[in-house]
Amino acid sequence: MTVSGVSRAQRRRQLSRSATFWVGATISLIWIVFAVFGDFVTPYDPAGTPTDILNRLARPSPEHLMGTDSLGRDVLSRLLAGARQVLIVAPLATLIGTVGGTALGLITGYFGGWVDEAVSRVLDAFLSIPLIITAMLVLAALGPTTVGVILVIGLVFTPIIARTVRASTLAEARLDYVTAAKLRGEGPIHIMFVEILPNVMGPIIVEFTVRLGYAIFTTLALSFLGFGGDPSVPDWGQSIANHYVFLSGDIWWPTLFPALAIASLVVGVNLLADAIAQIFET
Amino acid sequence: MGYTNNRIDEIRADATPAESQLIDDYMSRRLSRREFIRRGSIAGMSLPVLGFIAACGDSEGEATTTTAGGDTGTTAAGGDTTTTGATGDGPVTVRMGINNPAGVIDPVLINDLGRIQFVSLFADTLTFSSATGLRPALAESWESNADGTQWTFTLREGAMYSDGTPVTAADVVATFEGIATGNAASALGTGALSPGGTVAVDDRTVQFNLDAPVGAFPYIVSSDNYNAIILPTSFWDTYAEGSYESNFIGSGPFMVDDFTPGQGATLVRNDNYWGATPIPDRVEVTFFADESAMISAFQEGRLDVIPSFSAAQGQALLNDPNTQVGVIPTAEHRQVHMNTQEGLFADKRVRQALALAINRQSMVDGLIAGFGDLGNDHPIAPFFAVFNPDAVAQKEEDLDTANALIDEADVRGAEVTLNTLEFAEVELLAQLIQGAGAQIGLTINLQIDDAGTYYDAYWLDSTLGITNYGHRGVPNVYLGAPLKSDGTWNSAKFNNAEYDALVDAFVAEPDEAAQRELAGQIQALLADETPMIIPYFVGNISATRPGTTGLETTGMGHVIVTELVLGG
Amino acid sequence: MVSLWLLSVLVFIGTNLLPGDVGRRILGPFATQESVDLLNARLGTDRPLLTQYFDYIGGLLTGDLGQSVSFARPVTEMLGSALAHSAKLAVLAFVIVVPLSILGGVIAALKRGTLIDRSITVFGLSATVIPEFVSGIVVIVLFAITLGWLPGGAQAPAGSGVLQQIRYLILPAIPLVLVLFGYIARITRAGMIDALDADYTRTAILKGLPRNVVIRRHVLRNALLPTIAVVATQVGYLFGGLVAVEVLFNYQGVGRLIFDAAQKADLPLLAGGVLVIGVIYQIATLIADMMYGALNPRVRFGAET
Repeated sequence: MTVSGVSRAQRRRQLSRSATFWVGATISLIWIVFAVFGDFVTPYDPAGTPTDILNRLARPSPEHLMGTDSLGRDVLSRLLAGARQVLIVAPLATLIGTVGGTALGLITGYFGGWVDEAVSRVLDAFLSIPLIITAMLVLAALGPTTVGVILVIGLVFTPIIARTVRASTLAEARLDYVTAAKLRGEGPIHIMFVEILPNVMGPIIVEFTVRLGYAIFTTLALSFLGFGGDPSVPDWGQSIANHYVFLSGDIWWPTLFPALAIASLVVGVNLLADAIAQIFET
Repeated sequence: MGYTNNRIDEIRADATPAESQLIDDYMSRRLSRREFIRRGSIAGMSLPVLGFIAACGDSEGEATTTTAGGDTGTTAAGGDTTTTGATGDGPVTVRMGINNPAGVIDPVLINDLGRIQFVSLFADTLTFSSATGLRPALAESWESNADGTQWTFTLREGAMYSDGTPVTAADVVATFEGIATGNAASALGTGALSPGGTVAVDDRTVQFNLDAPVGAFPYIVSSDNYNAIILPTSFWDTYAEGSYESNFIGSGPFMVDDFTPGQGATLVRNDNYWGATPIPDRVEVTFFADESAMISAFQEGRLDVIPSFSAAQGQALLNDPNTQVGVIPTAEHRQVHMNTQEGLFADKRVRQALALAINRQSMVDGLIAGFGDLGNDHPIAPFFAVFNPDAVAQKEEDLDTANALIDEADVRGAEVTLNTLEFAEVELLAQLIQGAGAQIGLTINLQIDDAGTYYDAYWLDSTLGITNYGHRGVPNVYLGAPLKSDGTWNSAKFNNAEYDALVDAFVAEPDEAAQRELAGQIQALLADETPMIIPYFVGNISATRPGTTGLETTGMGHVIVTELVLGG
Repeated sequence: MVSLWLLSVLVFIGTNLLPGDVGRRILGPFATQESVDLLNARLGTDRPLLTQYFDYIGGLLTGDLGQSVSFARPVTEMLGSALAHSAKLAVLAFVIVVPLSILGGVIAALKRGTLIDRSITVFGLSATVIPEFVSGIVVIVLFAITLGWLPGGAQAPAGSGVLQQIRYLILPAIPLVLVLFGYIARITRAGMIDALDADYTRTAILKGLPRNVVIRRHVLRNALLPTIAVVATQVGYLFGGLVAVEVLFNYQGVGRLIFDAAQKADLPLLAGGVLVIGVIYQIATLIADMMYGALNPRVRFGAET
């Protein structure tokens, strides 16, 4: 039995009745399938061949349903293959942020006192700078690699998740079972990670799913601003960054389709996250 | 071909005498197709018209058209100075869009397109390096001693700055002494002029005493050295960084009336200008940090002239019938260097293989919309007077030979990283190189960084990379530091004694024919050794309204609008 | 206060993370090493970090943010004009989104549980998570290219009147509106529901007052005050969104300035911009806290919420 008294089975039933859950899950699943099997279902090779370039920026046509990009590659193929990049980077980054944030939150919530005060102050200052800007600064230093992006997003999410975990930990730390453990002589690390952690998993899971949506958002925003990796790897944010200059020439297809893909993915993931959050909040 | 003949006659009827002559020369085969297009675009003929005529000249066996009898028609023509501009009577204002100056306007710090463009409107150098060759500017004549170590320049009589004070030899000395302390020394590119080497013989004569002979010295002090704008001694005496922005003194055809950093400037005609009276009365310059905004502004009719834009971003203008695109060949190029000392490309066969795996023509057509010249893996562009057309056959895509070389060198399946920077179409070029590599069994991974990081960490320390080299009037800079064994910009780590000797001889040689002979040998050596792939040279394209004539630009970014007559 | 100081430290560390030689970045790779060294000496970027930090703090205390190294103009001057530009865009976005989202929240609350309520809530949630540059692209393709109603660039030509400037700023404001709508509407809705369920409302209805009078006089007033407090906290998201929008629409606001400064490694400008944004955010949060305190007697008297 969890703290709130609602059983797992009950939660699952509530979930299955939520329309937002099903819509969100369907959309997300579709993109996950493309991310995994993308290479096999695309009509053309997403990497293109050197001779395509003479067919660059061609309008959508029966041969190229979404037109071609500035190097003559098929936009549709790169769209489908592009799901992989963001669906690898964002979950990994969120995972790193969640792990880091959980650890930090547990520590500050458990120890309280001046440790909590000091760390919270620093985190507050850190969070008064919009995440995108912090990420930009760090990536300008590290260089625009995929690994860098994953680490940076993980880094900027840590304080946010830490805050939530801290709040939950503070509540838990006052309960009897923690006092009992202390009396038993258990060390702080044992108490934090073995006793308290399982009981705060609920909020952590909710945080993970909510932050996943923001991670997708941030990853794409960063590659739009020029911090993506290898440009030959299909990436929605980079596609938009490389082609939005053509909008004034009425060349809309290399940017609009990736934009719609991004919109559908983020909405799907967030509907999913919202449904899960609703369930845990009852 | 009756229709074609009528059309050509129509075109001739609207053309200036100069343009008519060009058409005649081309149709009667006195002019090559390339030369026709080149000169035609300088004269301001639009690309579609040129293309049309060029095509007609090719398909017809002989010139059967009759001339239009010298009737030059009624359009405003640059050659005929008595007609007014297309805008009619009243002050003529030209609205121009240029790159946002990358920093404070200071002669010592100029090193970007925006500042070069801006300053060229109101300041001069001793000589001017144009698309068609070198011509006098503030200096009216020059000569060297026998071995090219001492050059004497005579200043133009009566040349004045915009405030009426005369341009003197002392100013020239102060200028060269002033810029030698900044970053301008690198633009000089010779290392042969030291402080104290510039001497004023009298009010109008300046002597340059060089540490080593430099045959092309008049180019070195030309507009190619964008820091060498001649400014008064009084300015240099009180020089401080940014002080130029308080007066913008200069001897050019226009002078700065109003300047707002980050936004733009207004210039008015300089009545004290030493050259022909400029046709426009005012030039309104708008600075654009973003090229697409500049292009939108032109399309929306808020600009009359864009002296320089990139084909990659200017797609909209290239297809627009309401835009006249001019092109001049330049020596600007992308250098794909391969480390010749260690790694995958230490073996010459691998380098040659990659060079044969690319399709240069489709790169020119696809990446720069056809506005460029094919490269042959050496930096001596067809633009240069010393270019030797007979030295080496133009390389073409040859996958069979390339694959054979790879197998011979036994490197099939090798993997390597290509480092480069974000600039114009370089990112696209990198992807094409990657594709070419795939066709010969090489896996090339791309790493694109911003310019600062690339030049810090990878430029001189990578197995494979792409660097951008801007335009120069002579190839000396390209041949020296980037390729000589002691060169400080030698990203390919090229170490070839024969090459070093040829370059030293070339640089010192004052006779142009002899220079061309040496250039030919250099071309052949580089094309064979292939320390770098140079797939093409980028042409500089400009945009104006149809019918506009008289816009002159250089590969470096200089803008001359003294003869500009607006069309449309 | 401590937060502000911490912020300045973070900004200083962050901006000095940028690798490479400032002098080299300005003069470019082809300049001679002597020139680069001279420039570094003149800019003071070759001194030890601690010395540079004290100079930086000293400058801050006197209101001097230094000189931009790439433009040789005072940072405060450049930030001033950039902030003015961003402010216009932000104000327009707020002017559009606040009434719209309050209306949405109110309607959703009044029609609680119905399809209308669901639609508004889900729409708000979805709109919030779509990246600004994505909605920006859609908006450009739809309104500027296909329909041709509005211009695709944000910067009106110099000397344009207010109406003309607004016309240019509408499209860039839309992505910001979409991002902010969801949260404000949700808070309004929650506040309305609380107020509708409150005792004083029921009393008023029992007293015989017509429903819409009740809503107007009692409910709205109590529901809207927390909403206004919430608006202040959205400033942080707004700044994040400004970077992407200003880049896409090529608008010289503070987001664009920071982006360009990061590209050029113009440390004083970058530090100044990030610091100013951080300070504005902290001030906005402070105002929001104070308003919450003023509105909510429970918080004012220090009880646990």
